[in-house]
Amino acid sequence: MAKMTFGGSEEIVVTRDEFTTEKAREVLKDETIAVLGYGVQGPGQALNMRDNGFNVIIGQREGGKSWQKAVDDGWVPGETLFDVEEAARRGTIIQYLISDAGQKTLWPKVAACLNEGDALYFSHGFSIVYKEQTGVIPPENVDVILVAPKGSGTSVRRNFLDGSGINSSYAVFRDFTGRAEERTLATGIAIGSGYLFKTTFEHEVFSDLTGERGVLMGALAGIMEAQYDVLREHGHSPSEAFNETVEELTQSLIRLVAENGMDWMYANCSTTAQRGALDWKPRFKEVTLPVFKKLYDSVKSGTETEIVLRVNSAADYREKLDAELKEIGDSEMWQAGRAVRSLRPENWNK
Amino acid sequence: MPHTPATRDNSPPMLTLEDVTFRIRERKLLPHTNWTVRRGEQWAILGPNGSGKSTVVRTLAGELPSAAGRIERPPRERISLVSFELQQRLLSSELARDHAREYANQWDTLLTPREMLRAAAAGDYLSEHVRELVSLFSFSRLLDRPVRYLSAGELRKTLILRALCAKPTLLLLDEPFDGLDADSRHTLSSELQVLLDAGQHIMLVTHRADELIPGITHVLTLGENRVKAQGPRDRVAPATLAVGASHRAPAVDGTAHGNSASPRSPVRRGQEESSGEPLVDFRGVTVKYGQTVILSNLHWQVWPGERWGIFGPNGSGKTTILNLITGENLQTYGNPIYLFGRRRGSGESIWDVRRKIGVVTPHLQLQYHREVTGLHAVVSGLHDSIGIYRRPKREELSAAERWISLFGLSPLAERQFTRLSYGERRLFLIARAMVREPELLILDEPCQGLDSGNREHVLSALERVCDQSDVSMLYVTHHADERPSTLTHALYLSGQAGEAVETELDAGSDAASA
Repeated sequence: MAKMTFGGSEEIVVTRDEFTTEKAREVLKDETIAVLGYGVQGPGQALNMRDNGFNVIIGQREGGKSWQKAVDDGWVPGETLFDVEEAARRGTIIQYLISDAGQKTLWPKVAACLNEGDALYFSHGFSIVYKEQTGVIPPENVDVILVAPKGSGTSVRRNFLDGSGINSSYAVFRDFTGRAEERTLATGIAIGSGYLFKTTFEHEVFSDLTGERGVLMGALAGIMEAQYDVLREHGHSPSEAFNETVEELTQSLIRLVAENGMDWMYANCSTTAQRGALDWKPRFKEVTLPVFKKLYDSVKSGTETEIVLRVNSAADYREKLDAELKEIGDSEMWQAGRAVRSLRPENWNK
Repeated sequence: MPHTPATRDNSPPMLTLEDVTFRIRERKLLPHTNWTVRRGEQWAILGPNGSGKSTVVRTLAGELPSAAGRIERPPRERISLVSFELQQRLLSSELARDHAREYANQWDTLLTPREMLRAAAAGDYLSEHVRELVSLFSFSRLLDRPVRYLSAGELRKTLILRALCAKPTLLLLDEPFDGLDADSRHTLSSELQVLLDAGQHIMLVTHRADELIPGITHVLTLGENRVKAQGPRDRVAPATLAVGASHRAPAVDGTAHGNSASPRSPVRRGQEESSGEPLVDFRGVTVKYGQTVILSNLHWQVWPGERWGIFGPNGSGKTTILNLITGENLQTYGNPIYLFGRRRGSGESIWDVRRKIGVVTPHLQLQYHREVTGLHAVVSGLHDSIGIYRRPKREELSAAERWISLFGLSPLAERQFTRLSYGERRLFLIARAMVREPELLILDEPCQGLDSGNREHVLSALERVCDQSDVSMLYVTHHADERPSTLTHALYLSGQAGEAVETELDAGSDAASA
């Protein structure tokens, strides 16, 4: 376990060079890891653990599409593939990897299958942090742990096969056995993490919900729309407005930011862009800062999750949602986007 | 059967090249090429690896600009090109979409041939034309099978069908028979003949003169960076049709091909049975996806020193068997498979298994486009990586140099891997597979895409491998003339619901006749 400095702050980071796969295998040698849910995060983590030589079983509702996918992936019904409850009973580390809403619904059944000393594992802090809303309140006699890979299930798998590994955060919510931390780290290494950063359940979920409501989706979509509308109002064509707002960002700039950082972008763009972007950055920050503060408060107080759970369970939820999504899909900006994408050079002969 | 050209020299030209020089990246090719293709003529382009065949058709298709000269041709959208590269590109872009599918949990959107044809026919999907094509290629049973599950030959046909849906004036086929088994080659050849008879203009690119279909009337042969001959098929001298060794390929010194001096006698089961265990032991292996059975209850053992050829039509499960062993096929876990004495899924990791295996496939060659020297490409075999990420140790370099010199590649060791010819790269990849001294060497179509000269080099390199080491081997090919004489056993897959037959080959006999 090493301390690393990030922009002046020290954080605890565990690497697979110090916590090796062999050590993880030693820690988990008597454990059966039950992965509940073969949907999004389940397959990547389960396949990696199996390829690393750990004892893994799958719990999945029988007969569905995901059940068939599990069979195609070499999980054998009755040996390594079970009904959710049966898998939860057999496992000593129970990875609860179904959707947030699904976790709430299924919880009473799963809770009944937990044995003393089991570890209940999450890749998202949602159900535990908002336990008053979700009802996911684990018994006192189990460990409650978290490993959250920073990437989709596909990249968890792809990076493992490359040999490169993925970065994850980890946290312990309750240590009943006294082994919770080493179980967490061992499982984190088993699923193919290269680095593990320490966090808490609360911080994991607060940053996640803030991020997707903010810069990653909500804020991004909002400011894209605002800029597009202004360009259109001034007579720019849809293709020009889209290219300057979205296409250049996604096809070129964001990749440079990924490789070098925004500081590098500032240092290396044209002087015209540089001057203007330096002058306008504080103005955007000034107007958005209060919105982000409000957003964080709304996440922390549970208002956001309360809305999600309430709206999701309304009878006409699907209808209303479809209407909202249709509005975005039919908007001129994203229609223009469809046309612009089809003209990309790599798509000309498809 | 000799074929009389149906055209006279005064029929209108479809394609005219005047004083054209081709270019691929910074390399200029075939300077001052003059060539006219008239309506009614059916051309083939012949030549060894690296002679510029693919560059010519890619330029005609509008994928590459030319360096000089004038090209008159049908509009770009009337010319279609089908190549191995296109096939790989289609497959990788389809697999890349898994990221979005996984994100949205939508696995019912896998690309199928039906979807591809629908898009290509642009609203005219159920037209007479498309239905005739589907029936000509006996394709209806495959229309809804996701393209990722199609065999190489089936995928090739999908692309040809898609190209034809748009009714191209000219269909360019770059090595359409590559990677196909004998039956599929024969079938595809007759299907193409039907198209020719119906008046479809085709241009066939091949390095195998025996792949010229009867309806080809004219031939252009390339070599030594120039057009060596062009004209009616029966007037182009037969000598220029024999596609010889690429002059760029290195010579492999030493033992001649087929030399049976001091053949190693592989350890047979029965003999010394107590001293060892099989490297590979399939105890009733079944692979299926839904109702599609790829392998059915296969019992099979590979003992140390055995060298197996695995044969069978496209889609019969050859590559599946190899992927079960390397762990790329996930159903290896549901099956009673024992590798190197240990049951798969009993606590070992795939890295433990892969350390004992060397692998060469055409796919690996496509993936391997890192800027490293030939020497470092071989060293990367020690770490199972593509490219090299740490400074090689002295003993790693000398191990690599040993195999490089054994294959006669030493003069090329410091060249950039990506600048080597296709055949040279294949030899370096075989050295890369051998450098870690694997217990098992897996070769999937190691001669695919190679001309006869390069084929000789690869086969004689493999004989040196067998001569210099005890490595066991699994070897997949579709061509009788690509079988090394050192094979000791053969596994024949029928393609009928996973049936398999195995035979022992006489040591030292010509395996190609088995």
